[in-house]
Amino acid sequence: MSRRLTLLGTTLLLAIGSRLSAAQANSTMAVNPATVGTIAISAAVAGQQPTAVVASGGSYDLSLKKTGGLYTITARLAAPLPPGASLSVSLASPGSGAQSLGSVVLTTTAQPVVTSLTTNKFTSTGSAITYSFSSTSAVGVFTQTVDVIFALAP
Amino acid sequence: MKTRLVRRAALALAIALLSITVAASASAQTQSVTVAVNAINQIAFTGSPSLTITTATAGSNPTSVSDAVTATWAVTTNQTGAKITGSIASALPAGITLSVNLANPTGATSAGLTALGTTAVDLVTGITKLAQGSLGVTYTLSATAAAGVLSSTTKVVTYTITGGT
Repeated sequence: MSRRLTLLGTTLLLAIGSRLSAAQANSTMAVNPATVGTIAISAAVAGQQPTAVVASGGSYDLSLKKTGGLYTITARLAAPLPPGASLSVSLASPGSGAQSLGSVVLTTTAQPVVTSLTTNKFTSTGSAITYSFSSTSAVGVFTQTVDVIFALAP
Repeated sequence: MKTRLVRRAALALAIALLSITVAASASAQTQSVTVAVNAINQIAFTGSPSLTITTATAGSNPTSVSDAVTATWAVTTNQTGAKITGSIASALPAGITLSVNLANPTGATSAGLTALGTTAVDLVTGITKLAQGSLGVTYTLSATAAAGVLSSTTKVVTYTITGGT
């Protein structure tokens, strides 16, 4: 009797777990486009550091299926930029109480860029992604392709 | 028996929670971004000094005059070994010389007081990856007695930055 009860309990819990898993796995973030055109610094005011540039990074869509709880979007670089060069990203709030943290300097450590995403079956499309790129004159001339990794997590 | 039951239930709960935790890592997206910094070489000069020779020591050529406070210059380069040259569009009368001395930015070398002519001359060399402003410019006007009197004339000095590597 007790063995059957244990088996039943285990099965029930696993079922609950997998259902929750499936529900959360359905919460997705899609970034468009996958590749952003070159963001180039080409100018400076004499006596000052090169002029930073701001460029569109496209947009992102969200589909949050879990009921209750809050999600956060984090961002990080897959590899560091040269010292003195800085890439920042700003994700517009998708609405529904979500809070954009504005322009966040990207590093190889994930940092929140949007917080307080309500996960009550929330969807949004076309929220803007904006990059800002700056560099000191000491960095010199360079070109680098770097992956920005966005993660959606509770 | 009860202990075993509790253990099994705990195990099942742990597995279920693990399952939830794994799923909670959720969605990740990668966006590939290319950033570039192109060669930048910028200079700027401010101020329009006026130089007038009016005196002399008897027995010597007229006394040269200098202005070291009116003009300044600034530079930004992200290259190595950039240089500044200077020239004037048309020559001054014989015996009259306009010279300039540009203060060097950090790590660069100034040629010191250098006479300007219609051929560009090096004024500062070895300018490497910096942004610096409020640098001094000293103009000096000299004349020999043989040059005579020169009515007021304006000369435009052309400065050029040549990028390094």
